[in-house]
Amino acid sequence: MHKQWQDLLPYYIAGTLPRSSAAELERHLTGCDSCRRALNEWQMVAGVVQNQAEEWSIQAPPLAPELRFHNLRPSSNGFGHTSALAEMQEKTIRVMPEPRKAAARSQRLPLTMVAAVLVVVLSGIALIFLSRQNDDESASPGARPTNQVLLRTVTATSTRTRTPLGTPLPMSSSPSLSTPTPFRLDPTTQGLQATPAALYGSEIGMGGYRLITLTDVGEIPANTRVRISHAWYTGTGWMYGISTENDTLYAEAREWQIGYASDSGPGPTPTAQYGSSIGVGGYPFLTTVSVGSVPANTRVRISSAYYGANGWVYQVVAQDEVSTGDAYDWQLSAAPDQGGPTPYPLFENGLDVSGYPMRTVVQVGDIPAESRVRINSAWYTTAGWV
Amino acid sequence: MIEQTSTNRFDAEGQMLIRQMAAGTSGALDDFYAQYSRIVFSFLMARLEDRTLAEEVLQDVMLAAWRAAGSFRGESKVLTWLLTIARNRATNTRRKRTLSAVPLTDAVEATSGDTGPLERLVRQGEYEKVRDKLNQLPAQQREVLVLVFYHQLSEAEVAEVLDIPAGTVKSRLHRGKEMLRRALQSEASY
Repeated sequence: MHKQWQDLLPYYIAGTLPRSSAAELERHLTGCDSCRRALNEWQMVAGVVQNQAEEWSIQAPPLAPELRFHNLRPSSNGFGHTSALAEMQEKTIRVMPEPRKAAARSQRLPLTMVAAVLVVVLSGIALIFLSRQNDDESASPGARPTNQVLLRTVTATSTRTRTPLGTPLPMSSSPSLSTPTPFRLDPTTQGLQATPAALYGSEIGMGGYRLITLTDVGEIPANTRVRISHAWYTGTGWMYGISTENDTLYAEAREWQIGYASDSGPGPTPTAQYGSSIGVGGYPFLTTVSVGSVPANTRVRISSAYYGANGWVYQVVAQDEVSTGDAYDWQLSAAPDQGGPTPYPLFENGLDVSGYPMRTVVQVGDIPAESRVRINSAWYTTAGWV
Repeated sequence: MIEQTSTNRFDAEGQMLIRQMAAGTSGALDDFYAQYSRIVFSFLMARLEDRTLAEEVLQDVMLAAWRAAGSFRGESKVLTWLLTIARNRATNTRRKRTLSAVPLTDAVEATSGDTGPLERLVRQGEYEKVRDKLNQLPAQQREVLVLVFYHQLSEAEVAEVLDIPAGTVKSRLHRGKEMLRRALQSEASY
């Protein structure tokens, strides 16, 4: 009973306790020394927390200019249509309008998995057909020969107007760096790129410091035992956030820079089928069954994933951005319209290139304008490439 | 800190702004941002511990809120709805910071009921030191403290925003306070 009173104290201090409970608590406090001491403690903790949170709050940045254009478009409806992403998609849609329309129609119908796959494949065929048609229609000396290049050009143009980075400096173009982004439609793979296996995927978040550095990595010398705290795919390879024992040093390692310690031995490393879709916007999947608070046949995005005892588990978020659930591979399917809306990064050839070939045109984070920089990694958000 | 007495009016204004965003009213996002960006930013700072990252995610949250405005049904408070979106948008963000070289120690034996160090530090106006300790807490505990004391959410609302059981809210809250108290005890000299 006494613990129940103590559990109410933080909410009493925060002023969120219902009036009747607060009155009861106050009566109890008059006769209970230990609860009064605890109240005193909580009051001081609350003061510190409020003070810090208040200080954080006044540091909030202004609305980003690229979001501000929403305010200039009074005719748009609010849902899923006028984002920075949609802006880019609209430019893309002008190039190939039909697959999107077909997808929008099909989205209103409850789809079985078979039907969903069928629509994806048909959309893919339509996409290829239309892209060829577009190429034919736009045949001129300046016309682009393939749909891929056409898409890239359109997107790059729109991105350049929004990005803080200016025209890229010349840099060598390695074919191996021109990896297509996820969700370009390929009818043979139902629109999803094969995800490269993360060699050390099963080590992410694990303890035990089972790995060692094979070279110096940042401040961490070679032959140091490390664990992997998290990992991400840069578009050209997996990167691992590694830390030394007691987490005293942290660095970011490429796959070849780490290996299993001799006494650890490699564990099985499964591939996350949808790994390249983690953090990608646009709600590119449909749930095939109900997962968490997300009903079946709902468009979702993958916010994160982890490897569990029964395989990869994807934490999915529905378009309302509130409904969430954990899904296995088989509980997701590609949404029917996933065929090209993900824009290409303007600077994809700059990824992983040494020699600091870019320059900032404005201050970015701590880096002043006009500084030479290299791109360490890139990822796609609903607001564009970062 | 949000004034509890004006919570209802605050929420009604928020709901109106969401309806305006859903209808595409000019300037609605600006107004919504002015109303809520600071509150969301505090939560993101508590959760992500990285200013640049929190700034990026804040824009992402507001864009997501704009896009999801049409699906807001008013079943929860605007603040709870928005913080849930913030939690979801922040889930996948990568923390690219050097880990703290001095892990928070809880090795010091706490004297039950002794609030001396904290009281002393706060009285002396040494908020900087105290805040450092708050920032060394695990993010899971810090964000619960912030949601309870700054955002003034009830236990059920914290559970809803973070998608965790109410029992976990309770344990994180008490563990956070206990670690703060112990850390301060080791900091303060008698």
